[in-house]
Amino acid sequence: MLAGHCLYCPLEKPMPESTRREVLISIAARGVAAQAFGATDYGLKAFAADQFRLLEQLVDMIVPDSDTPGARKGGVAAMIEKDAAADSGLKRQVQGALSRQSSDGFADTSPPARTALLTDYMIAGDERRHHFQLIKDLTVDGYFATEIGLLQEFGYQGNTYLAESPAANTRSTLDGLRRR
Amino acid sequence: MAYEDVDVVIIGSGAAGGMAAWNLTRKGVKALMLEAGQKFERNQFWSHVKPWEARERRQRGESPPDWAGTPLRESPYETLPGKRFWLARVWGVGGKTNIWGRVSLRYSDLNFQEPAKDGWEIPWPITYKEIAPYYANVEKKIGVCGGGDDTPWLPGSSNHLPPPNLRCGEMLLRKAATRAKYPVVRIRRAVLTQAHNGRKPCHYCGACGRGCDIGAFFNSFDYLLKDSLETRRLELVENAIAEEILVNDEGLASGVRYFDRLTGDERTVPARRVIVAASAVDSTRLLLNSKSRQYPNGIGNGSDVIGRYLVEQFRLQVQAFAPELIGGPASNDDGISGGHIYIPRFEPTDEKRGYLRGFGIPISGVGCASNASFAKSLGGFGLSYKQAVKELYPALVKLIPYGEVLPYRHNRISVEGMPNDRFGYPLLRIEYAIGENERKMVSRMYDATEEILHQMKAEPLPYKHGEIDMPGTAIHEHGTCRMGEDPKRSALNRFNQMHEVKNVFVMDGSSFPTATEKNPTLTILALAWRASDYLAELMKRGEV
Repeated sequence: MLAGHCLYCPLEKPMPESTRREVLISIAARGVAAQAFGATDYGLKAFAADQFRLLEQLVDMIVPDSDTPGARKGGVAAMIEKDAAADSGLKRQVQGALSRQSSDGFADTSPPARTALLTDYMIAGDERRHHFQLIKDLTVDGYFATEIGLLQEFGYQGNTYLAESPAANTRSTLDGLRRR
Repeated sequence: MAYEDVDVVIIGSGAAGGMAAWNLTRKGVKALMLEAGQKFERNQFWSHVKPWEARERRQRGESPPDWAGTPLRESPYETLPGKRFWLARVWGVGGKTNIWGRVSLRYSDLNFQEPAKDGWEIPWPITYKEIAPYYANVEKKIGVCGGGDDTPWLPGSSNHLPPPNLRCGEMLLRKAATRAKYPVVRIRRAVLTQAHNGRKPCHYCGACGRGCDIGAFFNSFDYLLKDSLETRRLELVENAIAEEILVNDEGLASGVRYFDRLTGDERTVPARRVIVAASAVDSTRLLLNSKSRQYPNGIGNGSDVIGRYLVEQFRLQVQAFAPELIGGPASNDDGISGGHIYIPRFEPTDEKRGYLRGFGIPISGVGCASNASFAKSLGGFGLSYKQAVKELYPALVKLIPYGEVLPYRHNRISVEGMPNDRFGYPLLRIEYAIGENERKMVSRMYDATEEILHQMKAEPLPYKHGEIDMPGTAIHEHGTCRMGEDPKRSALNRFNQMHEVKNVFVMDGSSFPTATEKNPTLTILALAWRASDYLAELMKRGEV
């Protein structure tokens, strides 16, 4: 999204398309055990299988599972793949980011080493930081547009029919917080 | 309707065109309206499509209305290197009123009188007293919610519908801003918070930017054109791209040449009077492309002001988190979409501060949204990051000061040297940049924002002091066909009538000599009502 994007922008970036994976994961999130689907299960169009596996690792590290499923189970890597297949500019950028991390041997290191590498990327003064931020931005946009991210993680209640705009209940919010 | 019977040709169906059509047809005038796009059907709006459903729908090949796509395909624009300008246009019945921000603020006499006082460029030829009755008429007609508050820079109104309740973040923000001695008022928005003139009230789904599925905020079709069409004195021609106003030997407008967007057919409609209301930028292109022996520089442009003095507010954004709300539960913060409070301009021009004019501070993005864009600017990743995002989600507030840009002769829309569109008419170029005056104002805008957030003890997301949004993002273009008393320095008189071509009126935002710091649509509607009253009067007297 542009830094100066208008609130009522008629040029909203089109939402990326849904995938079989997302639908399956969405079902999984409703109580069916989540399955790990191999890259070939839904036919990759933008990335090679090893690139996709790396992407899955990255989104999983950025927003991992907690008491709610994280970005990998939310199908975010598949969303990014689908979007990249429809947008050559995005595909080039993501591939650039992935190939850098791939050349650092990211996928083959131990989990603690991966965390250390990702931390390095995050604070690096060069393009590695750029690459990390790109994947992070895509993960945030993707994950918090899913039912898992918005409903389960946040408890989002919006975009519904109300008789009136709810009154601010700052007092009860504050009291609730104090009791915690 | 036979072409010979048409009294007035109106170009554009947005706020200005819709108002002119409604006001004239109810007085018995027969009008033909040319609209470059087509009608957006309400049942196609994605007002109640959740983000995850939108993804699924797109996969099935469905899509919401393509609000801004048509003008970009038909009429792309050029900017100069290093001077990007983000131009948003909507071609379609109702224009931008289908998805506008709905903020409806009266300009004050301080706004109208300021250019005359500080001497920068030309003064407005009208006063608040002259336009106030029209503001009242418009508010009653369209329905504007708001408070009973009144400040020197923001005149009050007794016509407001009840304001929406405040969100938690807004209660805290209002307290902090008041403590920092900034005025805070209820936002005034053209949203029906109760049934009004037979229309259903808002149901607070927060999706106004996707079009309202019940028409609970003002849009030109539902509120103006529908009634005009029912009089059978309005004929609306969709997909009609107006490219040239033709003139006769006396130098008066005699017709409009347009092209059918779907078939490519060229058509000419004879015109006794023309109202140009295609939004500031497209109206200006049309005028500049209407060249003739009498008007080699574009119709009515002997003064060479048309296209120049483009003004559009500049703005910045600072996001922060209300500490009291961090870690709280999510709530439904949709409201009427956009902020429910507003910090109106609070300072007069004071040259000691080194800049002219001023700014107001709209509030937005308060509380729980349907995304978490803010999380991109938060450091970190992993479990602690996920937890932090969740805790901060209900606590977000956003301040977006809008500053007035002075009219500069070199900030302009032009067509010279541009390639042609598919119908053979030059496309447009936008040259626009803020100046020293605005750069000084930016600093004050950041200071005020920081002062309020400091009072709130709110932690802002990282931002760069001095940085502004890309020009154009306020979507408030003005000034390129300005009104004024002096025909050498303005193109229109005080009633939006061309000085040089008496049967052409330009009624959209291009007619404003200044942008002020405020959102313009209420004033566009008021001026169009006033100008069309004047035109009807002239017609009655046989003077035009």
